[in-house]
Amino acid sequence: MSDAAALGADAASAAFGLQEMFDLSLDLFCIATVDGYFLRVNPAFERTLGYTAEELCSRRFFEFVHTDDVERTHQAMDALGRGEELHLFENRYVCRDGSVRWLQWNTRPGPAVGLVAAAARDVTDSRARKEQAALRRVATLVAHRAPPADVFSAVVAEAATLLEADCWLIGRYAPDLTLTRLASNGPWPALANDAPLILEPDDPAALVWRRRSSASVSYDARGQPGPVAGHRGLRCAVAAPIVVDDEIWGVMLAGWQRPRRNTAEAEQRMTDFTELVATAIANAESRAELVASRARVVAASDDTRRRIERNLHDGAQQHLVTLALQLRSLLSTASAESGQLREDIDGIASGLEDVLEELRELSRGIHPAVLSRGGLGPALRTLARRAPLPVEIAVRVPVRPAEHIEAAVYYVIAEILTNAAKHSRAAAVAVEVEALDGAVRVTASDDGVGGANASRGSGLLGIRDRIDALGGTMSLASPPGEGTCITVQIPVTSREHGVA
Amino acid sequence: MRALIVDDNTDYLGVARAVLRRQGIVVVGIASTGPEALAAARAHEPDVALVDVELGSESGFDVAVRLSRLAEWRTRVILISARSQDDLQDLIAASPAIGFLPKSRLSAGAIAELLDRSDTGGRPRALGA
Repeated sequence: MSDAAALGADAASAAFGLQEMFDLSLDLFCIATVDGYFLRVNPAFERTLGYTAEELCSRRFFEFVHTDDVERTHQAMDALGRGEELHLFENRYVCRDGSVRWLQWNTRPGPAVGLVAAAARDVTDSRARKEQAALRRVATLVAHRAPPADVFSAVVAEAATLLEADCWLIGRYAPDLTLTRLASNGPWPALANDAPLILEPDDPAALVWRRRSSASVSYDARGQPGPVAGHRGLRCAVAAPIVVDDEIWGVMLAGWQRPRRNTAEAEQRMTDFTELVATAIANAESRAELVASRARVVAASDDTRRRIERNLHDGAQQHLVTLALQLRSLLSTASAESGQLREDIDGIASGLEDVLEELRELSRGIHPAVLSRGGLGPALRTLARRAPLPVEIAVRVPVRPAEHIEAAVYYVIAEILTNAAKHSRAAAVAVEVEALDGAVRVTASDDGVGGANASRGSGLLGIRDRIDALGGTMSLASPPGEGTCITVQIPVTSREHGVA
Repeated sequence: MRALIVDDNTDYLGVARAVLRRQGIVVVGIASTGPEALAAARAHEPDVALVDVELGSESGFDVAVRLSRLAEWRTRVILISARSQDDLQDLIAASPAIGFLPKSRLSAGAIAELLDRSDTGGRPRALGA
């Protein structure tokens, strides 16, 4: 083959390659003018957008661009007109069937003035995947019972990268129609401080409150005064409700500094996030409710025991005591000759005393009266005296905590002592009760065989339930052969603190 | 010996008054509340006040403190209860009462014994303790 022939073949094959690449490419290629006309588009354009090449070339392409992206697209074309290249620019096109596709562009101005060459890729699916991934990250947080505050921050951060709004806010409504900020970012002018925001009637957050559905508000360039979103500088705000247990709980707001005509998509995506936020809040509230209801169950049971003990004491016990005293008195007045009678009366009196003692023992098991009367010190020292093994007890609680805290501490120590007597083979137990800042701490240690286990059907499980109900903590160290040490801490709220 | 009985259980008050009278004690008054007890003590100047540790919502221990601080007249206080002494030990020890008697064992002899111990400077003790 001659050199010329080889050159010709190469040129032909080069031309052949370019054309086929243009035709076969899955990505979009075009030549366009900076003033907005496609001169040539490849078949991928037709496949992606559903229009024929003829249709695409017959109108300014801005007409195919999503209304909210037209302004940015104009700015991009201006830059190309100045001879700048454009990399990874993204905008939305509306297809023939009305669907919206995200295109990512690399564009270079051509040698001829006013012409550009561009390649684009349909990134709709990868953007959706990014959004799914963001939702999944938030959902994982929610599933792992992250505190709502963490979920709020995560939502604001994820939404900020996805929705390209300029500012974000999650707030909670109060019944007087004010809004308290829980998380935010970006320049909300009205959020200079943390004071609750008073919602004006035309504020998007107020619209959401009234309509119980998402809302959007556009502002003109001058920015009318009023809405909470502090829209000065904002041209558009979208708000989506956070609905928890059918109640409107709060709102998620997004603000843009450029106009947006189509907000339905933003509203939809924000709703995806607010549903997760609502789940996190509902979870947290039901956990709090569960703890509170357990505390109520314990308190109700304590009250009942107190009342039964009280009734036993005021009723049967007093009656028996009075009868016993009458019998003793009868005994002292019976004549010396009636020996058998005296003996019988004495026997009955002793029997009555036995019944009384049984009744006292029963009462103690129901509720320790001395706890109500004298507080932890006397009650615990009585408990220690009655324990079947030596107990050294130190109570350093200068101010009496609330009744239910005292009851919890008492029953916890009673159970610990019972357990130690039954299982530990200890020679002695030392118990210390002290008031800390905002809590009462119980430390109990014995010199027994160790190996105690709170999960093994022992009374320690009962202790744990009682402590959990009060939001307290318990730790157990019981290595075999080295004794057992139990530390229990029960929070005392500030209201109870200092109430004798 | 002149005694005042303080208890919110009226059945017991009646029986105790009858029992002690039969045993030679002059029961100068009975009371069901702290204020009644203080008024009766001022009016009748008893040698001893027998005070139930539980007076409804009032604490007999508090009443004991107020009785023992009366400026006009020195009344010695003996605490009584249907509960066992063992359950109340700490509270009895901390009170100004000279001793404790179980309510079923109230008697002139038991009262006299506690007063004697108190007079002879013995530590306040309860019957049978």
